[in-house]
Amino acid sequence: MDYKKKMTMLFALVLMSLTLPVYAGGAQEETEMVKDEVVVALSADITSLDPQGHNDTKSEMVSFLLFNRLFRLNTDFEVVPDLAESWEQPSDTEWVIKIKEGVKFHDGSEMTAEDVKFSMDRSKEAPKVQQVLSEVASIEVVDKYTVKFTTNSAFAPFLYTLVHAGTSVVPKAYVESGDEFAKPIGSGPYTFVEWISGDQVVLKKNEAYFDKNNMGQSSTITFKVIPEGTSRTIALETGEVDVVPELPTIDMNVVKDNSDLALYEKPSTRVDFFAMNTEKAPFDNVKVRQALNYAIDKDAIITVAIDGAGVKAESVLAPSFLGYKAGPYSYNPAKAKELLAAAGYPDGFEMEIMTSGDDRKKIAEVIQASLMEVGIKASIKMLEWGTFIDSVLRGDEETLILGWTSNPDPDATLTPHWFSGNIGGMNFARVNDPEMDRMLKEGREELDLGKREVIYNKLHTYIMDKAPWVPLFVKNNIVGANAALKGVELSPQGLWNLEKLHY
Amino acid sequence: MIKYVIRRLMMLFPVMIGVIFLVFFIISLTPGDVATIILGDGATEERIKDLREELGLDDPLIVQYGNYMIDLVQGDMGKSYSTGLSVAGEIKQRFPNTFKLTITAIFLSVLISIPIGVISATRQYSIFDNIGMIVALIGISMPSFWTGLILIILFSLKLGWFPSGGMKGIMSLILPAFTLAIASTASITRTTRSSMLEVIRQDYITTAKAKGVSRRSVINKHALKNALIPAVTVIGLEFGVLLGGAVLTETVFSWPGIGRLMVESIQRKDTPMVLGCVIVFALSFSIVNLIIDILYAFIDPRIKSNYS
Repeated sequence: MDYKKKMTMLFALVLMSLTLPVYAGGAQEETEMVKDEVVVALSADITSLDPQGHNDTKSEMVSFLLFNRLFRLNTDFEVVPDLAESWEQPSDTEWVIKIKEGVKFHDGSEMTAEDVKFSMDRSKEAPKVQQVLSEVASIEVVDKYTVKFTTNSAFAPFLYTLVHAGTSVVPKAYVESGDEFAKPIGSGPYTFVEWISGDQVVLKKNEAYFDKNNMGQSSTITFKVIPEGTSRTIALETGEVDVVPELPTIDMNVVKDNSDLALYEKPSTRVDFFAMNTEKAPFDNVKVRQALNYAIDKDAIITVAIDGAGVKAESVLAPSFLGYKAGPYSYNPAKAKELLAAAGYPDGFEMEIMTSGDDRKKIAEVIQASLMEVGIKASIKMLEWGTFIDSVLRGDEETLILGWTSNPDPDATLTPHWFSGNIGGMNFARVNDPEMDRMLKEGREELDLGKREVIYNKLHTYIMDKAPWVPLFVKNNIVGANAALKGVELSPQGLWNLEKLHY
Repeated sequence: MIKYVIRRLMMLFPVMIGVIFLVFFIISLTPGDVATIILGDGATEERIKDLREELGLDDPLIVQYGNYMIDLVQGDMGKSYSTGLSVAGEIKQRFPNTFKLTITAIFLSVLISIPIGVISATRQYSIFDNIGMIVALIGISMPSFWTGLILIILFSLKLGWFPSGGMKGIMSLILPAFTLAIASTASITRTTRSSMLEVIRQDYITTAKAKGVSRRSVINKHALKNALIPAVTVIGLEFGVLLGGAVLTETVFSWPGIGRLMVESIQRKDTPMVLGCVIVFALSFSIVNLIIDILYAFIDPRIKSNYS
């Protein structure tokens, strides 16, 4: 065989290898009819199909479609019944919940109180979600459709714990079959088709769904993993995906300027903050902490760090929470200087800001510039995430920048951040204040909503007077979607009620 | 020859043991407690302690390493810390995707670079040579995430010829494979050119020309075959580079490959998954190098005679 023939053969082989069955699947033919399929872009793959095997928002989106919980949140983050038919509270620590009759799992079996008890017990043991029901002492089956929860003490946020994906009701028989959620069976508006690791999750409409008012609208929902922000936006522009739940703020104008696309915005529950270590001088001085609250220009931070997609934070939680009250501070360098002088630092001092990640670096640089104006020389220390968290838990930092997405009930965020027992945990400012501890306990045990609101009002005022944080901003959730897509709803957590998406 | 191959295959064992040992200890040196990362916010001290015990994280490192090796020898790569899924199962899903991408990229770059390299050498300092070398320089200088995005904007967004990402049919393979191919095309072209230049100055080429053999035949038969050895070496090395360097390309094109899996696992400190990926990378790199070494023998009979 001469050389030319060999080369021709090689070339033919290469061409053949390119068309081998490895690539079977082929380009799917597009139909010009009304689309009955919705593709949602995810920035990362889900971690698990087991609702008790994950604790992240991506996996939650899929879980919420496959499974039901006793209660769910509406777009205003109010608790509404999902599987629950009715509920009552015979005493401060007991909750009796009756579930709807005739709810069918995807395999056709009926859901009973046994499944509910089994799921809650399983949830309490599952490593990823064990904290969700930690206030629950026991769960009993009362009759075929009724369960009774007993909490350790009077616990006002109890119903809020039952909206978490970790409290999804799973069929006892299925879990005991040992399939390990390779082909999950739930009761939700969509059923499982396939999960290709790192690529996509495909769900199909459950025609036999029990709740006729909340039926799935599209026949298929596909979640596509697109890790790169710009690639997500491009996929939306080319029509390969229909909705992007986490649109990069930098691409907001691209979507706004395109008449085929629509932009949705809603304030999140996430507060980005600057925390001062109250155990270290000079931040043990309340006047210094208040001075920094006046010195930092939050508007500049919002412009630089999140392209304007958010609002100033004025207290330690987002405004949508029960008992929220804004603090007294505004940007006022002159006032900051006065306070610094009164605290004994007329010429300022040197300090360090510790944080992690590129976005936070931008925030740190704006804060550095703000502080320079009142005479404080701040240096920035950037750390890798794991190292950062380790140092923070040890209390190595003088000040730090971090963000926190709050749980729907205020207690679930306030107690971790402000209870003295959580120093070395999530109490980032390392605040040890008996008065604060007392108010936190009072708030979580008070079952009357009106009284609870008053307690949290006082708590917000108290914390902001002590000023261990400078709350920076509440970021907006930004969702980009095809302009023709209907049923796009946002809650403070982002894209919500995905079963309503349709063309 | 067979003896040689068997000896080389045996040598894989110490290599793998060493690689696993290194990675195991490097991961353990990175900060962050695995149990805390798995349990996340609001985990109690007690739960963390229990989980550490369950995962055997309190054992001395050398014991943990020993346990891992014992399981590995029995074919058990363990379960992912973060997802609870079987490591072997995940890798089985992801590795073929990366392999598909890498192989296509290598084919593309060989198809492009060998002819350009040969023409550049035989027409040294011609316009073609200069343009070819400048293009090669640009190709090697462009970072793949940038090239990838430019290709997406041009061919998906503006022209609409290819999908912008994902893994659906042959069309979705072309852009990422081409992105990956560009950088290695550049280095293979340059190697082919310089080794070709060296060979065509040899006496036997002059002899062949003097005998009146056609120019085409001299280049294809006499020169190229001898000039290919360095090029094949580079192709083998590039294969390893591509396999590891596919991470960025996989991210930009949402390609569900093993590179992305590994980077995500490192971020989550998911030791069993990271080890699984590293083992697969090291094995495939070693095997490709072995294949390259065997190929030498077919290209150059002198090397074959050394084996026996």
